Amino acid sequence: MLRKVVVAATVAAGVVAYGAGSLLAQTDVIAERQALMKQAGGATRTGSQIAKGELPFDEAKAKEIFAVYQAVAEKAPALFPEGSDKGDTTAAPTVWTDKAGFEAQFAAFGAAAKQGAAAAGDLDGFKTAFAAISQECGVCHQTFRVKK
Amino acid sequence: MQRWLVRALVLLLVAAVIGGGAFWWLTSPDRITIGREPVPAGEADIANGRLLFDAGDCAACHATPGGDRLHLGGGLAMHTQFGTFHVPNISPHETDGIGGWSVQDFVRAMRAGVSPDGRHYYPSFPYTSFQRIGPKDLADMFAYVRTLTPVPGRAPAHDLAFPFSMRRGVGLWKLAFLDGREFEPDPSKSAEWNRGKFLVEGPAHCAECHSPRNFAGAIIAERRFSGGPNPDGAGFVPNITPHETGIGGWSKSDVVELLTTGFTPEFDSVGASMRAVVENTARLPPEDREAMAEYLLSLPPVASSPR
Ligand code: HEC
Ligand code: HEC
Repeated sequence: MLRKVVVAATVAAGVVAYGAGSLLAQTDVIAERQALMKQAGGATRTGSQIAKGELPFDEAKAKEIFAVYQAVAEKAPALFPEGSDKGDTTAAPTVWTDKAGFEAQFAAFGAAAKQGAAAAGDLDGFKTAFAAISQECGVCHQTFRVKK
Repeated sequence: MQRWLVRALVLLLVAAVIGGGAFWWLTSPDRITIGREPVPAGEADIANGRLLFDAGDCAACHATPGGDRLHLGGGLAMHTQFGTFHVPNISPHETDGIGGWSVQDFVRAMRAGVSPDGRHYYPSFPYTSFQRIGPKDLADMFAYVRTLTPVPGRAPAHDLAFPFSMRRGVGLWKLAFLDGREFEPDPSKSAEWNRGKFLVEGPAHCAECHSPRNFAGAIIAERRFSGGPNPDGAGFVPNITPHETGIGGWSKSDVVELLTTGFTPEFDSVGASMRAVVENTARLPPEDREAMAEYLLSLPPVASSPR
């Protein structure tokens, strides 16, 4: 009898620990992807300041913006695992119902970032590339993000 | 049958007939005089018509999904708590669109929500805001729409739950929520503020999404612009009054930036249904976006509506 209780308790504790573990993992993954998006936002702020002439054009800085976008495009898809739709997140259910479309959008964003980096050798090239890619943020948010 | 029962039944029947008659009379589209104002004669200003069309996001709802934004063949499905609306064709097609309409038909549809054949439109067509636009501006808008490509084809009928499937009932709703007052400038305010108020409250219908609604689906006046549940499904539409739970702390140029590129001061990019709004406000002249920002930031600050 006692053994049964101990076994049951151990199993229960294991289940609880496992559950808590995955919950923790999910809050982590949500925080992680939000931090990644903040990085994209930070790069966009700098880009917008350069495009408006509030910051001087600097080729290294300009290329860095597209490098951040590329890193975001590479890392982001893995940060939306199954089940991470619950919690403090503004990800839309479409992220999981249209996984292929969601990942394709990031792939296109990454490719555009790569092209943008190549075109950012001077202010005019930067401005054109930046204007085009910054529209992509909204295009993706239109389908895959809801405010809560 | 007992005599009192017969008498009661007859009385009930009479009440039902009188009640039904009253309902019929009260909800008659013919009783609404809004939108019968004469349209001033003279040449239409097509550029002004296009500007108001862009400000009104007409293309966001009426363009055929997946096609050119100026092919207004309709067909978009709007999912709401009342059922699914299928947005109609408003291209200048003679039979499938509004090519056969007179300018007066258009003014009446936009200001009173009544169709040329005398039926009520549902307020999913935001005429509660469009009623603020005057006949002259609407005539310009109509003239612009008539320059676009006629698109054949009709959208399917709406798929609504009873009793919302009864158009006549909208008449009762209008008694309470449609006043037909055209925008009146406030002479104590600047021309810029007045222009902004006209655009925000009229064609741009910002309050239609950004306000909480009561049980009858009408905007709660004192909480106007303080955010609310998304009318077409998931999520919450943010507060856009200058309160700390809204856009308090935003500068005028922050609001202008959002209406131009979709970026917030934190360089988040707005998505969901706001994306299509920005696509349209981005087409307006810069001074109109500034006017809208001027008006928004002058609104009384209201705390966000409870979720
Ligand atoms: C939020 C979506 C939405 C927006 C924005 C919108 N409409 Fe509509 N509109 C509708 C819906 C839905 C209907 C159908 C209403 C009904 O059947 O009761 C409609 C109906 C109409 C009709 C009547 C068409 C007919 O066949 O009887 C006209 C005309 C019209 N809209 C013009 C406009 C114009 C012009 C604008 C921009 C200033 C505009 N709409 C903006 C959703 C919209
Ligand atoms: C069709 C519904 C709709 C209409 C019409 C609409 N909005 Fe929005 N708006 C939204 C939604 C949804 C969001 C949240 C989008 C997001 O962050 O992804 C939003 C976000 C915003 C924000 C950002 C608020 C914040 O705290 O981030 C501002 C400012 C704003 N809207 C202003 C306006 C103005 C001005 C108008 C009229 C020109 C307008 N909106 C019309 C749905 C709408």
